[in-house]
Amino acid sequence: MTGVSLAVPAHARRLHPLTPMRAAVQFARNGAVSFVLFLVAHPGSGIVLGTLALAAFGLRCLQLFRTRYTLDDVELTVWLGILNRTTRVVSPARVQRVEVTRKLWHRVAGLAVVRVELAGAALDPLRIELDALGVAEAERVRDALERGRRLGRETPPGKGDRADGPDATGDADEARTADRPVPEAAPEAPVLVRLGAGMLALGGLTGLPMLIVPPFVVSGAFQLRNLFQNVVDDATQSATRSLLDATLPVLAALGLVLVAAWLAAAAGMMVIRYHGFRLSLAGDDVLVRHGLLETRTTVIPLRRVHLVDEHAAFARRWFHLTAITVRTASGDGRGRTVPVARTATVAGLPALLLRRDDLPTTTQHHPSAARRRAFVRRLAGTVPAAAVGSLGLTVWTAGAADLAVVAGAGAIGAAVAWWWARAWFGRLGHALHDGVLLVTDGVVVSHRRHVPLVRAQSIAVTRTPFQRRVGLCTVRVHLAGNGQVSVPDVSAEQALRIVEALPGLGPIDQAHWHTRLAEVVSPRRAAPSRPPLTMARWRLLLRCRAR
Amino acid sequence: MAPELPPQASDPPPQASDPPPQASEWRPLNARITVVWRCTWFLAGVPVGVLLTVAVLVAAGPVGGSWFLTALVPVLVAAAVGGAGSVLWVPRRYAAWRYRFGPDALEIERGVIWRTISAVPYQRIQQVEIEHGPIQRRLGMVSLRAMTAAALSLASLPGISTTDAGDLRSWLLHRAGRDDGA
Repeated sequence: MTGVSLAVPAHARRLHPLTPMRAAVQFARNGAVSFVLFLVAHPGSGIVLGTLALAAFGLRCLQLFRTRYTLDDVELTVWLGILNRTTRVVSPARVQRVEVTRKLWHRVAGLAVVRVELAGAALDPLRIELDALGVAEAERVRDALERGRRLGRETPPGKGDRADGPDATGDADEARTADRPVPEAAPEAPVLVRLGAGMLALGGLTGLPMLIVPPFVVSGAFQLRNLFQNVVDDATQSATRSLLDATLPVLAALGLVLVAAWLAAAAGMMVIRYHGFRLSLAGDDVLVRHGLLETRTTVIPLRRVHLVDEHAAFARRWFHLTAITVRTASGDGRGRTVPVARTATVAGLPALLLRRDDLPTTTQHHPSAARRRAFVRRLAGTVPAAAVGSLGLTVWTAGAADLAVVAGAGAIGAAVAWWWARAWFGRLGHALHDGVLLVTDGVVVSHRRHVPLVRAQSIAVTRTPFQRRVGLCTVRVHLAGNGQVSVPDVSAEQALRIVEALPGLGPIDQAHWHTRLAEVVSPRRAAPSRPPLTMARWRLLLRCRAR
Repeated sequence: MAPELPPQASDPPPQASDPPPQASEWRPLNARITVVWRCTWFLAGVPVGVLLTVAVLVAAGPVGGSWFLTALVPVLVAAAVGGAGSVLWVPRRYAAWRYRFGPDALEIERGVIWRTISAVPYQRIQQVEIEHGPIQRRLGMVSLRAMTAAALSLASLPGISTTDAGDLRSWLLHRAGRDDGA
């Protein structure tokens, strides 16, 4: 990259002139309550407070006025700050995601916010937000970034990532010196996923937040019943009793209305947020548009995708619905790429997003030692928790421990743990195909994570003391940014297969890795895996005991 | 098959045109790193001792009615924590550490309770950092961290000799890929 000019050039552009108005609204919204409260407490301080508020607002306006930027095919440069001045230079070739957002206020004023994310965008310096520009200017910035990205991608063969091909690198100076013509923008392909209001409402009703409704209703009903029981016990007069009898149905109806409002809010929020959802492919980019009050247009370069996660809460699984999240190294990952869709409709979408002909569909099962470990872990966690919880509850409510309640809670905890472990192990699996690692897991929310190993940064295999006793290990594939994908409780051979599939790793010391991973602390516990305890085996064992 | 690197102080500076590295041996850390770890254990005992002293003072007043004995508590606790850590933990931690400069990746094995073997391909390395605290400086050692685009990558080598650190950093950077895979 050529030298960065610290002086702001004359042709640098500023934010939209209406931006200070937005700042004023924000300022008033954030400070109004404190301002009024302080004024009520100290009526004489109005002039001082007003001066301070005006000064702070002026400083903010000056800050916005001092924000300037230039953009060409090679770099986006932003100058920020009043006293401490910052110059940020971004190569479009390194951009992970570009987002153009328009909240209701922006739409009224004809403005838009452009957000540019680099790898690790969770950190402030790796994220640039131009808040706000005119709509035409925002589109020009987005298009220029896209053009610069395509130009930067045309790197001569042999200089890129060995594993990822020649298009993986993005040095801007090469793009500048190459003096090549800018490739034409790819035409936008037909829409791949389009979501109507009905589907979005169904998605809202079956999403994870709705899981708290049943416990909320049951708990509320019990609380009401206990409350009224106590009151009725104390009420000796018939007038009080009749009043309570009349109030109960009203309260029940109110509860039903509240639940209905809750459900309507869940469905409505989803519809408002993702109204008019469209996902399309434009060349090598994914283009996502949605929003009713706040419109959002996101461009995700396909070559930056390092994780595609299909996930569904159990209520969605009943309706054969799923959601898809696409992650890049920007690490921000706000929202879902596809919030909800019929599983059959988007079955081929992960392969398309990862630019593969097909993806693994069937998964390898993990060793039976993993099943035993799942049962032990869930039982060890759930049963004591249930017993201690019920003990505390009985002592708190009745003043004395009721052993029957504690034992019952422990038994329920054991049953839940049994079901949980069985379901968890049933969903656990992984597969390797065409350089893509598929990992499936999750009970309440099931996940199918597809990771193109060519984008993995490093890999680690960890073994806890318990895993070492039964010959298991956990593989962690580290992704750029804060991401990682874990494959828990695999055998040493399965772990080595995943490690060796990592491109760019070259020959590792297999003998050493194998020795270390297969090392078992207690050989007694590492005997060949026993068959699972099916009902037939239980009968056989019990019969042997009886004899 | 002779291990190519890590370089010694007498080695010539690495060149971009170096031949591909041969498989090298797994090697332990510099034994002097245990001194740093033992000091860390003793230092970690000091705040524990201070907190314990404050708790005792609040609950029962000065130990044995003497402020001198009370002031001794943090020292004794630090000595106990440091001694226990030095005897029970540090040798195990040192024995668990191994690393190897493979042909294409830095392989590291470590951990006493949670044992981990990790591999970081050289081509993913973005940045190499050298850190040295006061104790390490005194002992002529540094910690070398090879950083990738992943925040969770495990590629830190403590106890590298100060004389080797510069060459090793250059060696790693020469093998770092042009693309970060991000």
